[in-house]
Amino acid sequence: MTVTFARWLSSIVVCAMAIGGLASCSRSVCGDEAPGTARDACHYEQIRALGPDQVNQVDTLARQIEDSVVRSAAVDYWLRDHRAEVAREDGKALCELLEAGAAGRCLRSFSAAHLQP
Amino acid sequence: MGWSTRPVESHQPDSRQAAAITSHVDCGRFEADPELAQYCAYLDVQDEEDPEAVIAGCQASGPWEQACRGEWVGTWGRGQTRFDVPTLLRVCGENHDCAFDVLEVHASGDVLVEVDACERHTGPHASDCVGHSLNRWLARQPDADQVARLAALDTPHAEAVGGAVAHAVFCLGAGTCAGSESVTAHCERSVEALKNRPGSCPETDAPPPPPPRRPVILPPKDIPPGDRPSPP
Repeated sequence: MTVTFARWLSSIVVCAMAIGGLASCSRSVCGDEAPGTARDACHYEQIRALGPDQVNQVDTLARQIEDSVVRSAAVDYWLRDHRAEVAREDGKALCELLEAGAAGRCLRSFSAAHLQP
Repeated sequence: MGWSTRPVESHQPDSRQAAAITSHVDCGRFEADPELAQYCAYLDVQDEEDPEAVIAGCQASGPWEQACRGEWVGTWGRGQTRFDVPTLLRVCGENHDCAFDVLEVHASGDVLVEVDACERHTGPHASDCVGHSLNRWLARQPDADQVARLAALDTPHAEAVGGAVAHAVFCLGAGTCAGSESVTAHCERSVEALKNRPGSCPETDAPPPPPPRRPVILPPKDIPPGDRPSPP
């Protein structure tokens, strides 16, 4: 019962967060996926579909991805696509979700003056 | 002339480097997903110690190639590193931010080498890179020989170089503008501008520049000594 409720709640939250990104909401509700690889892949696809003004949703969904490489890839690809529209502090906060091998470059891209868009 | 191929310093991996050595990423699980596989390859190659393997690995990381190169150099090329500047620049490849960082962190101390490297490796950052190098050169308070050496440079950044030479000439009293045609022209213009802009010389410990020579007016020989104007 608890699990069912949690999945229902998750789907509501995901759909609410997907305003402006309806494709991800209508295509998949990640709460219905089994925990692990499949759910990570679902969250990955959802993040990729989010728009530049949905930085909070990126953060929330990324934190639900268990595989750290998948989490890092989801955030990094999203940042790559929307780099110019992401505020510096938001970007730096997302950089913290990246793997060590990517976080330094990400943080620097939001800090160095000559790298600002 | 060129970058020293000697290591910058003996290698003492810092904590981040040490962590990287022991943390290879298992990318096999992403074989079916090229997008994730490429990203994983980018992360995995950060643990490599062989620059040639790094270059090959980064080339396999698709859209992450430049990030891959820059991140590796940012980790393995900073501070105390076993890798010389040419190697680091080779790994940077077309990542101009990466090359700019390398040239800032491992400045050679020879302004001609630095300017040449800026022009060859830093792409859109070349002007900033050259400017930083010239500022370091001025901070070392060059003497007349060093001014002449820089002034002789034939460079697409003649305006910046001419400006630096002009500062050395006017503010430090070192050497002259004589050099390559374009640098000399920019230098002479800059000196004139500096003359008309009091306080434009940065404060330094160097002795103040000599006062500009005032013209000596020689009296005409046919004026009696008593009627000659007094000297200035």
